[in-house]
Amino acid sequence: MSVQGWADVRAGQEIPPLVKHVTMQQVEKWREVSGDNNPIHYDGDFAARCGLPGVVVHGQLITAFLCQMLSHWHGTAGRLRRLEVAYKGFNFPGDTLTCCGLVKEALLSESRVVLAIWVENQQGEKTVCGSAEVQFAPS
Amino acid sequence: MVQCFTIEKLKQKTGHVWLTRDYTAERERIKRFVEVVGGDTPLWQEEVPPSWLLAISLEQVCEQLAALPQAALHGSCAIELFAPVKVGDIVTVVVKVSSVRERQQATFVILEIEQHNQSGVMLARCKQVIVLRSKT
Repeated sequence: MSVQGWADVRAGQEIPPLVKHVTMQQVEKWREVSGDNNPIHYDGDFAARCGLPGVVVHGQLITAFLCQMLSHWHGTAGRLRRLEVAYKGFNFPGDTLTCCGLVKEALLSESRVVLAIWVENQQGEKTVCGSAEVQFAPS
Repeated sequence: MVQCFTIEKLKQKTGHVWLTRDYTAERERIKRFVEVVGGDTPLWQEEVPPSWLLAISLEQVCEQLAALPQAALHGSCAIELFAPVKVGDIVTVVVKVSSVRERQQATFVILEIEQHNQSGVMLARCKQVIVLRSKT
């Protein structure tokens, strides 16, 4: 559920998680809309030659999930200003991924929040970690 | 057209513009993008989601890296957003090579990407880190 405005935001707040079950079909559609046709995302033999256990999900698709989680949360009350993530582990088609976020700082004078954001797979491993900043209109 | 190149040629691009391309944020294109991610928010009907800007920051790079004998893995990405992007805007993506560093097991390519609209307004600045690994 979206926050209504700056008054609803506080440090320590967990933002509603977003759960995604990633399918091979979604990975193929992402190839089409992103133009990222790296064979590690669709060719198992190629992935194996690269030392990977199988085809992997595009990191930028996972990042798009994090952006989606953030936009669900800030709605029209806020706007994403910055996002950065590091890909710590691989995600595979068939994985169930949970996108998470926590408000680390609420900068009162600027109506801006800094969040820790991350993605966990079904084993609870953090495969993507990073941070984001969302700007709100002053209340 | 994809030009054949090597890591050595990429190193020579350090500090310079490597790739540029214009992208039109057509309504159908953005709608399709949002559908693939699985979005159901009304936010992205007239405005472009930040994740689309990240995607177009890397598209030309992916095309070029496909010509390398090494496997390309994504290390990290970052984006700073300065102005909203509206459906219908034309986004010019300019990719610069910031550094190319060879290590024992891999080569780390750091790219800085700027995006402007048709009026010259800076929309976003991205940083992408690509890890190149030898294939067996």
